[in-house]
Amino acid sequence: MRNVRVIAKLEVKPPNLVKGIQLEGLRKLGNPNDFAVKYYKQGIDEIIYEDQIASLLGRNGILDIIEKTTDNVFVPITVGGGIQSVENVSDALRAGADKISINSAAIQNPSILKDIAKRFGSQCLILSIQAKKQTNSWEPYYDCGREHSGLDAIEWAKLGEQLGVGEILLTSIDQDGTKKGFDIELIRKVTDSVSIPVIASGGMGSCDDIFQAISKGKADAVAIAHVLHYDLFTTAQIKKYCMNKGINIDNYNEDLL
Amino acid sequence: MKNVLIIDYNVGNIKSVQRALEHIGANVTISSNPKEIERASKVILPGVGAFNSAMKEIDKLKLRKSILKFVATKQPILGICLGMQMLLDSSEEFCEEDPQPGLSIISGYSTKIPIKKIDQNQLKLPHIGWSKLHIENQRTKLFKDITDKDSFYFVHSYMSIPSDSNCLTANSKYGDNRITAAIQQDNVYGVQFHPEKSGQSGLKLLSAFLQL
Repeated sequence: MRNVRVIAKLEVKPPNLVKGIQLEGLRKLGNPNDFAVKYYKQGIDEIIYEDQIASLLGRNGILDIIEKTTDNVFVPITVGGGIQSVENVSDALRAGADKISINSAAIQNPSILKDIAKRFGSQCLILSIQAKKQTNSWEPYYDCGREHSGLDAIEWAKLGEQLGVGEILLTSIDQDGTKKGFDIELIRKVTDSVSIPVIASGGMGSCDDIFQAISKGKADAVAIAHVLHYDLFTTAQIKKYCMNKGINIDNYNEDLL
Repeated sequence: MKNVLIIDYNVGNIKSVQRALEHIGANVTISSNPKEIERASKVILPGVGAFNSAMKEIDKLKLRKSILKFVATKQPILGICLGMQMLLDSSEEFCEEDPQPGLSIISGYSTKIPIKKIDQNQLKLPHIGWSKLHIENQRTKLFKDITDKDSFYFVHSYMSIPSDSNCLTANSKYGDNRITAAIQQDNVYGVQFHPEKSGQSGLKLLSAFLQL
């Protein structure tokens, strides 16, 4: 069986870590670097930063946070929010990011995905899909959930794969921050449609939610925010639960429990 | 102070490698200067990205010769991920368009990881995730502090096949596939995983490299 990753998703409004519900009502939680270090020490597999205000080029923006985090956190770090060009990707990688995730710019100009994949490789390119449930489908939203794309989330994921994306970060806007569990149906529809890894995000409230996202949704990784930020679980506790349920997790250290 | 030079060829996550090395006490120089590379005491060839564009950058910066000259000094060099694949002769990555030759320091090539069905779940590419190492050559100094508790972060779609199986120092498993995790030929080391992104396990391995 494949190995599954547990990823911490840190939404930031530089210089602060924030968290909202359904991408709205962001609350300040503190210094993102402190949270990143805490999760690193708990044995997190990766960290995803999502910048809510596209501060890529500004002073004291997301790149400064990345620089600080990479001083003492040695797991893969993804940066998303505000990437508009190949140059932006280069800047983010130079600041210490390992991957970038892209949403708005790709919806406006899908060929940017191809350009980035060709220049830096698929492995550093994540397509972030923030989807909202419609009657019989899911629609990707962008600009922090403010704009709707008119696309179909499943078709968009397939196109992303064709254009060279290495992973999909799939967030259910409906579930985000609610602790009501992942949108398993959405996750399964996407994992059945693409052959690249899918990171499920939005809605974790219990360890069993993760188990469902992996076993029923076939997610390759889960990105969690709320339950970690509010200390409801530690990374090690989550991993232990999943391993007891028969899920393969290679990066696990009993001592961290 | 342990000195190490990271080759900067406009591709890749140099900062991550730099910070990991500095964290364990190295004095890091980042350079794309051929003379500086030739004179270095230890070299790291990092790598994230696409093989062809990486080799093009190496040639554009006229670094091919200086890397070979450095290797001839018998000082240690470590290729990371794509950097390891670049040590070989060639790669099948995007080879339909303008294929670039590798550095040919170790004989071999890279090919796409074959996809098979496992446990009813199709293997995904890129292979992204943490894996333990199966060490083939216990005498490899790079692994001196690595135990079966250590795991490492992999992210790649291509795997290296060295021509001489004696060069293969560690494997890892991905589904049914055995993936070349590390290679070595004399003073030339390569790892497919990212030690700079593998937490404490990776820092231990980088420390061992600094002690070579």
